[in-house]
Amino acid sequence: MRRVAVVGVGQLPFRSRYPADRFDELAMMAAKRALADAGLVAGDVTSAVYSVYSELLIRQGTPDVMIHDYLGLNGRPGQRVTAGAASGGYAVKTAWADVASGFSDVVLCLGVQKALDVDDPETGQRADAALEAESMTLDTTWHLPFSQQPWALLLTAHMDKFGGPTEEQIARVAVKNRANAVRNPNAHLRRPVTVEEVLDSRLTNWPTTMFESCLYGEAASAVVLVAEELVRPEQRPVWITGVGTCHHNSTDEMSADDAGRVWPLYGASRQAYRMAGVTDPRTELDVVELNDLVAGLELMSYAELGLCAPGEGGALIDEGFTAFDGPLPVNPSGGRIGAGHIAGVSGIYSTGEIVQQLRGEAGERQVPIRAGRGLACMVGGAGLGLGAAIVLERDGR
Amino acid sequence: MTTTGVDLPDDAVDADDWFEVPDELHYYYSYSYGGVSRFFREIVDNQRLTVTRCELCDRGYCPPRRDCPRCWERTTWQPHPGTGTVVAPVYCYWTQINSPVRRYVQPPFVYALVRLDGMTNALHTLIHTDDLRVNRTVRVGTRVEVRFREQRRGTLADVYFVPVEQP
Ligand SMILES: [Zn+2]
Repeated sequence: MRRVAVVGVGQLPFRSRYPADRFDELAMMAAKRALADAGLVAGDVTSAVYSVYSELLIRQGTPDVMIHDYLGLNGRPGQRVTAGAASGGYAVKTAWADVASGFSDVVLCLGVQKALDVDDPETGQRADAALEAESMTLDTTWHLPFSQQPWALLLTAHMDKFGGPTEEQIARVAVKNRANAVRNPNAHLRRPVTVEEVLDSRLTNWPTTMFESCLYGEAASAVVLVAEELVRPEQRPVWITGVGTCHHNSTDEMSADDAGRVWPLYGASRQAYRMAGVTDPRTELDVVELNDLVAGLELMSYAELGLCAPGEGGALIDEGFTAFDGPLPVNPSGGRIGAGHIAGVSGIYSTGEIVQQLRGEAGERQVPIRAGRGLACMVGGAGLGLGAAIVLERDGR
Repeated sequence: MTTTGVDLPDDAVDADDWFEVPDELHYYYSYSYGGVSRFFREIVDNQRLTVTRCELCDRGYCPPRRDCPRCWERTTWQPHPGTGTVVAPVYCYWTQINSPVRRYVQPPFVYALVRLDGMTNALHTLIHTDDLRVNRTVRVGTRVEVRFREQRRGTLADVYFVPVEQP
Protein backbone atom coordinates (compact mmCIF):
# COMPACT_ATOMS: atom_id res chain seq x y z
CA MET A 1 0.00 0.00 0.00
CA ARG A 2 1.14 3.52 -0.75
CA ARG A 3 1.20 6.17 1.94
CA VAL A 4 -1.46 8.82 1.45
CA ALA A 5 -1.28 12.51 2.35
CA VAL A 6 -3.86 15.26 2.52
CA VAL A 7 -2.27 18.25 0.80
CA GLY A 8 -5.23 20.52 0.23
CA VAL A 9 -8.18 21.79 2.23
CA GLY A 10 -11.00 23.94 0.90
CA GLN A 11 -13.96 24.97 2.98
CA LEU A 12 -16.99 27.17 2.62
CA PRO A 13 -18.69 28.46 5.75
CA PHE A 14 -21.76 26.59 6.95
CA ARG A 15 -24.79 28.76 6.35
CA SER A 16 -28.49 28.23 6.67
CA ARG A 17 -28.76 28.73 2.93
CA TYR A 18 -26.74 29.65 -0.13
CA PRO A 19 -29.60 30.97 -2.26
CA ALA A 20 -27.29 32.40 -4.90
CA ASP A 21 -25.38 29.16 -5.53
CA ARG A 22 -26.36 25.83 -7.02
CA PHE A 23 -24.85 22.63 -5.60
CA ASP A 24 -22.44 22.29 -8.53
CA GLU A 25 -21.38 25.92 -8.11
CA LEU A 26 -20.72 25.37 -4.41
CA ALA A 27 -18.69 22.29 -5.37
CA MET A 28 -16.60 24.44 -7.72
CA MET A 29 -15.88 26.98 -4.97
CA ALA A 30 -14.72 24.32 -2.51
CA ALA A 31 -12.69 22.47 -5.18
CA LYS A 32 -10.94 25.68 -6.24
CA ARG A 33 -9.91 26.42 -2.70
CA ALA A 34 -8.69 22.89 -2.00
CA LEU A 35 -6.62 22.70 -5.17
CA ALA A 36 -5.20 26.19 -4.64
CA ASP A 37 -4.23 25.16 -1.11
CA ALA A 38 -2.47 22.11 -2.56
CA GLY A 39 -0.76 24.14 -5.26
CA LEU A 40 -2.45 21.97 -7.88
CA VAL A 41 -4.81 22.58 -10.78
CA ALA A 42 -7.83 20.68 -12.04
CA GLY A 43 -5.69 18.98 -14.66
CA ASP A 44 -3.67 17.30 -11.90
CA VAL A 45 -6.71 15.49 -10.50
CA THR A 46 -6.72 11.82 -11.50
CA SER A 47 -10.01 10.86 -9.84
CA ALA A 48 -12.76 12.28 -7.67
CA VAL A 49 -14.90 11.05 -4.79
CA TYR A 50 -18.09 12.96 -4.05
CA SER A 51 -19.83 12.92 -0.71
CA VAL A 52 -23.39 13.92 -1.51
CA TYR A 53 -25.76 12.59 1.08
CA SER A 54 -29.26 13.14 -0.25
CA GLU A 55 -30.94 13.37 -3.61
CA LEU A 56 -34.30 14.48 -2.25
CA LEU A 57 -32.76 17.54 -0.63
CA ILE A 58 -31.37 18.81 -3.93
CA ARG A 59 -34.03 17.41 -6.26
CA GLN A 60 -31.38 15.63 -8.27
CA GLY A 61 -30.42 11.97 -8.62
CA THR A 62 -26.80 11.05 -9.45
CA PRO A 63 -25.61 14.57 -8.61
CA ASP A 64 -22.01 13.36 -8.92
CA VAL A 65 -22.43 13.20 -12.70
CA MET A 66 -23.40 16.87 -12.81
CA ILE A 67 -20.65 17.92 -10.41
CA HIS A 68 -17.96 15.98 -12.30
CA ASP A 69 -19.08 17.58 -15.54
CA TYR A 70 -19.31 21.03 -13.97
CA LEU A 71 -15.74 20.74 -12.66
CA GLY A 72 -14.54 19.77 -16.13
CA LEU A 73 -13.41 16.33 -15.02
CA ASN A 74 -15.33 14.31 -17.61
CA GLY A 75 -13.45 11.21 -18.66
CA ARG A 76 -11.73 10.72 -15.31
CA PRO A 77 -12.87 8.23 -12.65
CA GLY A 78 -15.50 9.52 -10.28
CA GLN A 79 -17.55 7.99 -7.51
CA ARG A 80 -20.29 9.10 -5.19
CA VAL A 81 -20.48 8.05 -1.55
CA THR A 82 -23.52 8.49 0.64
CA ALA A 83 -23.70 7.32 4.25
CA GLY A 84 -25.92 9.64 6.25
CA ALA A 85 -24.16 12.13 8.48
CA ALA A 86 -21.06 9.93 8.22
CA SER A 87 -20.88 10.33 4.42
CA GLY A 88 -17.77 12.49 4.49
CA GLY A 89 -15.80 9.94 6.48
CA TYR A 90 -16.78 7.11 4.16
CA ALA A 91 -15.78 9.33 1.23
CA VAL A 92 -12.35 10.06 2.70
CA LYS A 93 -11.86 6.34 3.29
CA THR A 94 -12.80 5.68 -0.33
CA ALA A 95 -10.44 8.38 -1.59
CA TRP A 96 -7.67 7.03 0.65
CA ALA A 97 -8.18 3.55 -0.80
CA ASP A 98 -8.01 4.92 -4.34
CA VAL A 99 -4.57 6.37 -3.64
CA ALA A 100 -3.25 3.64 -1.34
CA SER A 101 -4.12 0.95 -3.87
CA GLY A 102 -2.42 2.72 -6.74
CA PHE A 103 -5.71 3.26 -8.54
CA SER A 104 -5.28 7.03 -8.48
CA ASP A 105 -2.51 9.51 -7.65
CA VAL A 106 -4.43 12.70 -6.92
CA VAL A 107 -7.97 12.46 -5.59
CA LEU A 108 -10.34 15.34 -5.12
CA CYS A 109 -12.62 14.34 -2.23
CA LEU A 110 -15.51 16.76 -2.16
CA GLY A 111 -18.65 17.05 -0.06
CA VAL A 112 -21.51 19.30 -1.03
CA GLN A 113 -25.12 19.50 0.02
CA LYS A 114 -27.90 21.98 -0.19
CA ALA A 115 -30.85 21.37 2.13
CA LEU A 116 -33.00 24.44 2.46
CA ASP A 117 -34.16 24.40 -1.11
CA VAL A 118 -36.82 22.09 0.28
CA ASP A 119 -39.77 24.26 1.04
CA ASP A 120 -43.23 24.09 2.46
CA PRO A 121 -45.33 26.74 0.75
CA GLU A 122 -48.08 26.47 3.36
CA THR A 123 -45.91 27.12 6.40
CA GLY A 124 -42.74 28.55 4.87
CA GLN A 125 -40.82 26.24 7.24
CA ARG A 126 -37.92 25.15 5.06
CA ALA A 127 -35.99 23.46 7.88
CA ASP A 128 -38.98 21.36 8.85
CA ALA A 129 -39.55 20.41 5.24
CA ALA A 130 -35.88 19.44 4.86
CA LEU A 131 -35.97 17.28 7.99
CA GLU A 132 -39.05 15.57 6.63
CA ALA A 133 -37.27 14.76 3.38
CA GLU A 134 -34.29 13.56 5.40
CA SER A 135 -36.47 11.17 7.37
CA MET A 136 -36.89 9.17 4.16
CA THR A 137 -33.35 7.92 4.77
CA LEU A 138 -34.48 6.25 7.98
CA ASP A 139 -36.05 2.80 7.86
CA THR A 140 -39.36 3.68 6.22
CA THR A 141 -41.03 0.42 7.29
CA TRP A 142 -39.79 -0.05 10.85
CA HIS A 143 -38.78 3.44 12.07
CA LEU A 144 -41.20 5.91 10.54
CA PRO A 145 -43.29 7.77 11.42
CA PHE A 146 -41.87 7.90 14.97
CA SER A 147 -38.17 7.43 15.23
CA GLN A 148 -36.86 10.47 13.47
CA GLN A 149 -34.18 10.98 16.13
CA PRO A 150 -32.43 7.63 16.59
CA TRP A 151 -29.79 9.18 18.85
CA ALA A 152 -32.54 10.03 21.34
CA LEU A 153 -33.22 6.32 21.94
CA LEU A 154 -29.53 5.71 22.56
CA LEU A 155 -29.25 8.62 24.95
CA THR A 156 -32.12 7.64 27.27
CA ALA A 157 -30.96 4.01 27.25
CA HIS A 158 -27.43 5.19 28.03
CA MET A 159 -28.57 7.41 30.89
CA ASP A 160 -30.63 4.61 32.38
CA LYS A 161 -27.87 2.04 32.10
CA PHE A 162 -24.94 4.15 33.25
CA GLY A 163 -26.69 6.71 35.47
CA GLY A 164 -25.40 9.64 33.44
CA PRO A 165 -24.66 12.04 31.95
CA THR A 166 -26.69 14.65 33.81
CA GLU A 167 -28.67 17.33 32.02
CA GLU A 168 -26.11 19.91 33.09
CA GLN A 169 -23.18 17.86 31.78
CA ILE A 170 -24.96 17.57 28.45
CA ALA A 171 -25.56 21.32 28.40
CA ARG A 172 -21.86 21.90 29.03
CA VAL A 173 -21.03 20.26 25.69
CA ALA A 174 -23.17 22.82 23.89
CA VAL A 175 -21.54 25.63 25.85
CA LYS A 176 -18.05 24.34 24.96
CA ASN A 177 -18.79 23.90 21.27
CA ARG A 178 -20.59 27.20 20.88
CA ALA A 179 -17.64 28.94 22.58
CA ASN A 180 -15.23 27.18 20.22
CA ALA A 181 -17.28 28.26 17.22
CA VAL A 182 -16.75 31.91 18.12
CA ARG A 183 -13.10 31.43 17.03
CA ASN A 184 -14.10 29.80 13.75
CA PRO A 185 -14.86 32.17 10.86
CA ASN A 186 -16.52 29.31 8.97
CA ALA A 187 -18.93 28.54 11.79
CA HIS A 188 -22.67 28.83 11.43
CA LEU A 189 -23.34 29.96 15.02
CA ARG A 190 -20.78 32.34 16.47
CA ARG A 191 -22.56 33.53 19.61
CA PRO A 192 -21.55 31.89 22.90
CA VAL A 193 -24.23 30.53 25.23
CA THR A 194 -24.39 29.78 28.95
CA VAL A 195 -25.43 26.57 30.69
CA GLU A 196 -28.58 28.35 31.85
CA GLU A 197 -29.48 29.46 28.33
CA VAL A 198 -28.95 25.96 27.03
CA LEU A 199 -31.06 24.33 29.73
CA ASP A 200 -33.77 26.98 29.34
CA SER A 201 -34.02 26.58 25.59
CA ARG A 202 -36.89 24.55 24.20
CA LEU A 203 -36.96 20.80 24.92
CA THR A 204 -36.87 18.78 21.72
CA ASN A 205 -36.48 15.20 22.94
CA TRP A 206 -35.83 15.05 26.67
CA PRO A 207 -33.19 15.66 27.89
CA THR A 208 -32.03 17.30 24.69
CA THR A 209 -32.84 20.96 24.15
CA MET A 210 -32.81 23.10 21.02
CA PHE A 211 -29.42 24.64 21.87
CA GLU A 212 -28.00 21.14 22.29
CA SER A 213 -29.02 20.19 18.76
CA CYS A 214 -27.15 20.96 15.56
CA LEU A 215 -28.70 23.18 12.95
CA TYR A 216 -29.20 22.01 9.43
CA GLY A 217 -27.41 24.13 6.85
CA GLU A 218 -25.67 24.19 3.51
CA ALA A 219 -21.99 24.10 2.62
CA ALA A 220 -19.28 22.51 0.52
CA SER A 221 -15.91 21.23 1.61
CA ALA A 222 -13.05 19.44 -0.10
CA VAL A 223 -9.73 17.78 0.62
CA VAL A 224 -7.08 16.68 -1.85
CA LEU A 225 -5.34 13.35 -1.29
CA VAL A 226 -2.11 12.43 -3.07
CA ALA A 227 0.33 9.54 -3.16
CA GLU A 228 3.55 9.90 -1.20
CA GLU A 229 5.80 10.09 -4.24
CA LEU A 230 3.97 13.20 -5.45
CA VAL A 231 4.05 15.09 -2.15
CA ARG A 232 6.02 18.33 -2.06
CA PRO A 233 7.09 19.82 1.30
CA GLU A 234 5.45 23.17 0.57
CA GLN A 235 2.12 21.35 0.49
CA ARG A 236 2.41 20.83 4.28
CA PRO A 237 1.25 17.22 3.96
CA VAL A 238 -0.75 15.57 6.71
CA TRP A 239 -0.77 11.79 6.49
CA ILE A 240 -3.73 9.47 6.73
CA THR A 241 -2.40 6.65 8.89
CA GLY A 242 -5.64 4.96 9.86
CA VAL A 243 -9.13 4.63 8.42
CA GLY A 244 -12.16 2.78 9.67
CA THR A 245 -15.82 2.46 8.85
CA CYS A 246 -18.50 0.46 10.58
CA HIS A 247 -22.14 -0.26 9.81
CA HIS A 248 -23.96 -1.28 12.97
CA ASN A 249 -27.62 -0.46 13.62
CA SER A 250 -27.47 0.68 17.23
CA THR A 251 -31.24 0.56 17.79
CA ASP A 252 -32.08 -2.90 16.45
CA GLU A 253 -31.46 -5.16 19.42
CA MET A 254 -30.39 -3.08 22.41
CA SER A 255 -29.81 -6.16 24.52
CA ALA A 256 -28.77 -5.54 28.10
CA ASP A 257 -25.17 -5.75 26.96
CA ASP A 258 -25.32 -3.49 23.94
CA ALA A 259 -27.96 -0.89 24.88
CA GLY A 260 -26.99 2.77 24.96
CA ARG A 261 -23.81 2.36 22.97
CA VAL A 262 -22.82 4.01 19.69
CA TRP A 263 -21.41 0.87 18.13
CA PRO A 264 -20.53 2.22 14.67
CA LEU A 265 -18.19 4.75 16.24
CA TYR A 266 -16.63 2.10 18.43
CA GLY A 267 -16.06 -0.18 15.45
CA ALA A 268 -14.77 2.52 13.11
CA SER A 269 -12.39 4.08 15.63
CA ARG A 270 -10.94 0.74 16.73
CA GLN A 271 -10.26 -0.15 13.11
CA ALA A 272 -8.58 3.20 12.46
CA TYR A 273 -6.55 3.01 15.70
CA ARG A 274 -5.34 -0.48 14.82
CA MET A 275 -4.14 0.65 11.42
CA ALA A 276 -2.45 3.74 12.86
CA GLY A 277 -0.96 1.89 15.83
CA VAL A 278 -2.84 4.02 18.34
CA THR A 279 -3.16 2.18 21.66
CA ASP A 280 -3.84 5.03 24.09
CA PRO A 281 -5.96 7.65 22.33
CA ARG A 282 -6.03 9.82 25.47
CA THR A 283 -2.34 10.60 25.12
CA GLU A 284 -1.64 9.75 21.50
CA LEU A 285 -4.19 12.17 20.03
CA ASP A 286 -3.86 15.97 20.15
CA VAL A 287 -7.26 16.88 18.80
CA VAL A 288 -10.57 15.23 17.90
CA GLU A 289 -13.45 16.31 15.69
CA LEU A 290 -16.63 14.30 16.09
CA ASN A 291 -20.32 14.48 15.17
CA ASP A 292 -22.10 16.17 18.05
CA LEU A 293 -25.42 15.98 16.23
CA VAL A 294 -26.76 16.52 19.72
CA ALA A 295 -24.73 17.30 22.82
CA GLY A 296 -25.46 13.99 24.52
CA LEU A 297 -24.04 12.14 21.55
CA GLU A 298 -20.66 13.83 22.05
CA LEU A 299 -20.53 12.53 25.63
CA MET A 300 -21.47 9.00 24.53
CA SER A 301 -18.86 9.24 21.78
CA TYR A 302 -16.01 9.83 24.24
CA ALA A 303 -16.30 6.26 25.48
CA GLU A 304 -16.65 4.77 22.00
CA LEU A 305 -13.40 6.51 21.04
CA GLY A 306 -11.64 5.05 24.07
CA LEU A 307 -11.27 8.34 25.94
CA CYS A 308 -13.14 6.97 28.98
CA ALA A 309 -15.27 4.05 30.09
CA PRO A 310 -18.90 3.90 28.92
CA GLY A 311 -20.97 6.20 31.09
CA GLU A 312 -17.99 8.37 32.06
CA GLY A 313 -18.44 10.99 29.34
CA GLY A 314 -20.04 13.43 31.75
CA ALA A 315 -17.04 13.31 34.06
CA LEU A 316 -14.75 14.07 31.12
CA ILE A 317 -16.57 17.29 30.26
CA ASP A 318 -16.73 18.23 33.96
CA GLU A 319 -12.98 17.97 34.37
CA GLY A 320 -12.37 19.97 31.21
CA PHE A 321 -10.52 17.11 29.54
CA THR A 322 -12.03 17.94 26.14
CA ALA A 323 -12.15 21.72 26.59
CA PHE A 324 -10.40 24.02 24.12
CA ASP A 325 -7.53 24.41 26.60
CA GLY A 326 -7.83 20.88 28.00
CA PRO A 327 -5.49 17.90 27.48
CA LEU A 328 -7.49 16.66 24.46
CA PRO A 329 -9.65 19.33 22.79
CA VAL A 330 -12.74 17.91 21.11
CA ASN A 331 -14.44 19.91 18.37
CA PRO A 332 -12.27 23.03 18.43
CA SER A 333 -14.12 24.04 15.24
CA GLY A 334 -17.35 24.21 17.23
CA GLY A 335 -18.46 20.84 15.95
CA ARG A 336 -21.87 20.26 14.52
CA ILE A 337 -23.57 22.35 17.23
CA GLY A 338 -21.37 25.39 16.67
CA ALA A 339 -19.56 25.13 13.34
CA GLY A 340 -22.54 23.68 11.55
CA HIS A 341 -23.86 20.57 9.94
CA ILE A 342 -25.12 19.15 6.77
CA ALA A 343 -24.73 15.45 6.08
CA GLY A 344 -22.26 14.85 3.27
CA VAL A 345 -20.19 17.94 4.00
CA SER A 346 -19.54 17.65 7.74
CA GLY A 347 -17.19 14.67 7.53
CA ILE A 348 -15.02 16.32 4.86
CA TYR A 349 -15.08 19.51 6.88
CA SER A 350 -13.95 17.71 10.06
CA THR A 351 -11.13 16.01 8.18
CA GLY A 352 -10.03 19.41 6.85
CA GLU A 353 -10.20 20.87 10.34
CA ILE A 354 -7.86 18.20 11.71
CA VAL A 355 -5.48 18.80 8.79
CA GLN A 356 -5.44 22.53 9.55
CA GLN A 357 -4.85 21.85 13.25
CA LEU A 358 -1.95 19.46 12.58
CA ARG A 359 -0.40 21.92 10.13
CA GLY A 360 -0.61 24.64 12.76
CA GLU A 361 -2.82 26.70 10.46
CA ALA A 362 -6.01 26.81 12.50
CA GLY A 363 -5.62 30.47 13.44
CA GLU A 364 -7.44 31.58 16.58
CA ARG A 365 -8.73 28.08 17.22
CA GLN A 366 -5.30 26.43 17.01
CA VAL A 367 -4.76 23.85 19.77
CA PRO A 368 -1.32 22.64 20.92
CA ILE A 369 0.09 19.84 18.78
CA ARG A 370 2.33 17.52 20.81
CA ALA A 371 1.91 13.95 19.56
CA GLY A 372 1.29 15.23 16.03
CA ARG A 373 -1.84 13.16 15.63
CA GLY A 374 -5.57 13.88 15.36
CA LEU A 375 -8.82 12.06 14.76
CA ALA A 376 -11.79 12.99 12.61
CA CYS A 377 -14.80 10.77 13.10
CA MET A 378 -18.43 10.77 12.12
CA VAL A 379 -21.59 8.93 12.98
CA GLY A 380 -25.04 9.05 11.44
CA GLY A 381 -27.67 7.18 9.49
CA ALA A 382 -30.77 5.19 10.32
CA GLY A 383 -30.54 3.76 13.82
CA LEU A 384 -27.35 5.81 14.16
CA GLY A 385 -25.90 2.87 12.28
CA LEU A 386 -23.02 4.40 10.30
CA GLY A 387 -19.59 5.31 11.62
CA ALA A 388 -16.29 6.43 10.13
CA ALA A 389 -12.93 7.38 11.62
CA ILE A 390 -9.81 8.89 10.09
CA VAL A 391 -6.50 9.14 11.96
CA LEU A 392 -4.28 11.93 10.62
CA GLU A 393 -0.62 12.57 11.43
CA ARG A 394 1.71 15.47 10.86
CA ASP A 395 4.78 13.34 10.38
CA GLY A 396 3.40 9.98 9.33
CA ARG A 397 5.55 6.89 9.70
CA MET B 1 -0.22 29.43 0.19
CA THR B 2 -2.58 29.04 3.10
CA THR B 3 -6.07 29.60 1.81
CA THR B 4 -7.63 26.96 4.00
CA GLY B 5 -11.00 28.43 4.51
CA VAL B 6 -10.53 31.39 6.81
CA ASP B 7 -11.87 33.99 4.39
CA LEU B 8 -14.70 33.70 1.98
CA PRO B 9 -13.39 32.89 -1.47
CA ASP B 10 -13.66 35.72 -3.95
CA ASP B 11 -16.29 33.86 -5.88
CA ALA B 12 -18.55 33.30 -2.85
CA VAL B 13 -19.54 36.92 -2.56
CA ASP B 14 -23.27 36.96 -2.12
CA ALA B 15 -25.09 37.74 -5.28
CA ASP B 16 -28.53 39.27 -5.07
CA ASP B 17 -29.65 38.50 -8.58
CA TRP B 18 -30.65 34.89 -8.08
CA PHE B 19 -33.96 33.67 -9.36
CA GLU B 20 -36.02 31.11 -7.47
CA VAL B 21 -38.57 28.80 -9.01
CA PRO B 22 -41.28 26.96 -7.07
CA ASP B 23 -41.37 23.25 -7.79
CA GLU B 24 -42.79 20.09 -6.31
CA LEU B 25 -42.24 16.37 -6.40
CA HIS B 26 -45.03 13.83 -5.88
CA TYR B 27 -44.83 10.08 -5.94
CA TYR B 28 -47.35 7.43 -5.07
CA TYR B 29 -46.33 3.95 -4.02
CA SER B 30 -48.08 0.64 -3.56
CA TYR B 31 -45.42 -1.57 -2.15
CA SER B 32 -45.43 -5.16 -1.02
CA TYR B 33 -44.33 -6.12 2.45
CA GLY B 34 -42.95 -9.30 0.93
CA GLY B 35 -42.12 -11.97 3.48
CA VAL B 36 -43.40 -9.95 6.40
CA SER B 37 -46.80 -9.25 4.82
CA ARG B 38 -48.45 -11.53 7.36
CA PHE B 39 -47.43 -9.22 10.21
CA PHE B 40 -49.39 -6.33 8.70
CA ARG B 41 -52.29 -8.43 7.38
CA GLU B 42 -52.91 -9.93 10.84
CA ILE B 43 -52.87 -6.48 12.38
CA VAL B 44 -55.26 -5.02 9.83
CA ASP B 45 -57.66 -7.97 9.57
CA ASN B 46 -57.55 -9.61 12.99
CA GLN B 47 -55.94 -7.19 15.45
CA ARG B 48 -53.38 -9.89 16.17
CA LEU B 49 -49.66 -9.56 16.62
CA THR B 50 -47.50 -12.17 14.92
CA VAL B 51 -43.74 -12.59 15.08
CA THR B 52 -41.19 -14.89 13.50
CA ARG B 53 -38.81 -17.34 15.07
CA CYS B 54 -35.76 -19.15 13.74
CA GLU B 55 -36.09 -22.84 14.48
CA LEU B 56 -32.34 -23.34 14.20
CA CYS B 57 -31.16 -20.80 16.81
CA ASP B 58 -34.52 -20.13 18.54
CA ARG B 59 -34.22 -16.35 18.15
CA GLY B 60 -37.52 -14.50 17.92
CA TYR B 61 -38.01 -11.45 15.75
CA CYS B 62 -40.35 -8.49 16.03
CA PRO B 63 -39.97 -6.58 13.76
CA PRO B 64 -40.43 -9.93 12.05
CA ARG B 65 -37.83 -11.16 9.59
CA ARG B 66 -38.44 -13.82 6.98
CA ASP B 67 -34.79 -14.82 7.27
CA CYS B 68 -32.70 -15.18 10.41
CA PRO B 69 -29.75 -12.79 10.15
CA ARG B 70 -27.60 -15.16 12.19
CA CYS B 71 -28.38 -18.49 10.49
CA TRP B 72 -29.72 -17.28 7.12
CA GLU B 73 -32.51 -19.80 7.68
CA ARG B 74 -36.19 -19.17 6.88
CA THR B 75 -38.09 -18.34 10.04
CA THR B 76 -41.58 -19.52 11.02
CA TRP B 77 -44.57 -17.45 12.17
CA GLN B 78 -46.00 -17.47 15.70
CA PRO B 79 -48.77 -15.55 17.41
CA HIS B 80 -47.64 -13.16 20.16
CA PRO B 81 -49.71 -11.89 23.12
CA GLY B 82 -48.39 -8.34 22.60
CA THR B 83 -46.68 -7.88 25.94
CA GLY B 84 -43.22 -6.44 26.21
CA THR B 85 -40.78 -4.14 27.95
CA VAL B 86 -39.54 -0.65 27.12
CA VAL B 87 -35.87 -0.82 26.14
CA ALA B 88 -35.47 2.90 25.44
CA PRO B 89 -38.05 5.69 25.59
CA VAL B 90 -37.99 9.05 23.82
CA TYR B 91 -39.98 11.92 25.29
CA CYS B 92 -40.69 13.92 22.20
CA TYR B 93 -41.57 17.57 22.75
CA TRP B 94 -40.92 18.77 19.23
CA THR B 95 -41.28 17.36 15.78
CA GLN B 96 -41.46 18.82 12.29
CA ILE B 97 -44.51 20.83 11.49
CA ASN B 98 -45.34 18.44 8.65
CA SER B 99 -44.20 15.22 10.33
CA PRO B 100 -46.37 12.21 9.47
CA VAL B 101 -46.43 11.29 13.16
CA ARG B 102 -48.79 14.24 13.63
CA ARG B 103 -51.43 12.16 11.91
CA TYR B 104 -51.53 10.13 15.14
CA VAL B 105 -50.28 12.32 17.99
CA GLN B 106 -49.15 15.85 18.70
CA PRO B 107 -46.11 16.61 20.84
CA PRO B 108 -45.47 15.93 23.59
CA PHE B 109 -45.64 12.19 23.08
CA VAL B 110 -43.58 9.12 23.89
CA TYR B 111 -42.12 6.74 21.39
CA ALA B 112 -39.97 3.86 22.41
CA LEU B 113 -38.06 0.80 21.49
CA VAL B 114 -40.11 -2.08 22.88
CA ARG B 115 -38.84 -5.62 23.16
CA LEU B 116 -41.79 -7.98 22.92
CA ASP B 117 -41.43 -10.87 25.35
CA GLY B 118 -39.07 -13.50 24.03
CA MET B 119 -37.81 -11.44 21.10
CA THR B 120 -34.20 -10.73 20.13
CA ASN B 121 -34.81 -7.39 18.42
CA ALA B 122 -37.03 -4.48 19.36
CA LEU B 123 -39.90 -2.56 17.80
CA HIS B 124 -40.09 1.23 17.35
CA THR B 125 -43.55 2.23 18.52
CA LEU B 126 -45.70 4.86 20.20
CA ILE B 127 -46.52 4.63 23.89
CA HIS B 128 -49.80 6.21 24.90
CA THR B 129 -49.61 7.94 28.24
CA ASP B 130 -51.10 11.17 29.48
CA ASP B 131 -48.55 12.24 32.07
CA LEU B 132 -45.51 12.86 29.87
CA ARG B 133 -45.15 16.53 30.58
CA VAL B 134 -45.16 16.13 34.33
CA ASN B 135 -43.69 12.77 35.23
CA ARG B 136 -42.14 10.97 32.27
CA THR B 137 -43.21 7.74 33.97
CA VAL B 138 -42.49 5.54 30.96
CA ARG B 139 -38.98 4.32 31.60
CA VAL B 140 -36.55 1.60 30.65
CA GLY B 141 -38.14 -1.55 32.04
CA THR B 142 -41.75 -0.31 31.94
CA ARG B 143 -44.06 -3.19 31.02
CA VAL B 144 -46.32 -2.42 28.08
CA GLU B 145 -49.09 -4.08 26.12
CA VAL B 146 -50.20 -3.69 22.52
CA ARG B 147 -53.30 -1.84 21.39
CA PHE B 148 -54.76 -1.64 17.89
CA ARG B 149 -56.13 1.49 16.30
CA GLU B 150 -59.68 1.60 15.03
CA GLN B 151 -58.47 2.76 11.66
CA ARG B 152 -55.78 0.41 10.39
CA ARG B 153 -54.18 0.66 6.98
CA GLY B 154 -51.15 -1.58 7.30
CA THR B 155 -48.34 0.50 8.76
CA LEU B 156 -46.31 0.46 11.93
CA ALA B 157 -48.61 3.15 13.33
CA ASP B 158 -51.61 0.77 13.36
CA VAL B 159 -50.42 -0.42 16.76
CA TYR B 160 -49.33 1.41 19.87
CA PHE B 161 -48.60 0.33 23.40
CA VAL B 162 -49.86 1.30 26.83
CA PRO B 163 -48.04 0.89 30.14
CA VAL B 164 -49.40 -1.91 32.31
CA GLU B 165 -47.12 -1.68 35.34
CA GLN B 166 -43.99 0.11 36.49
CA PRO B 167 -40.64 -1.62 36.99
ZN1 LIG C 1 -31.25 -18.42 13.47
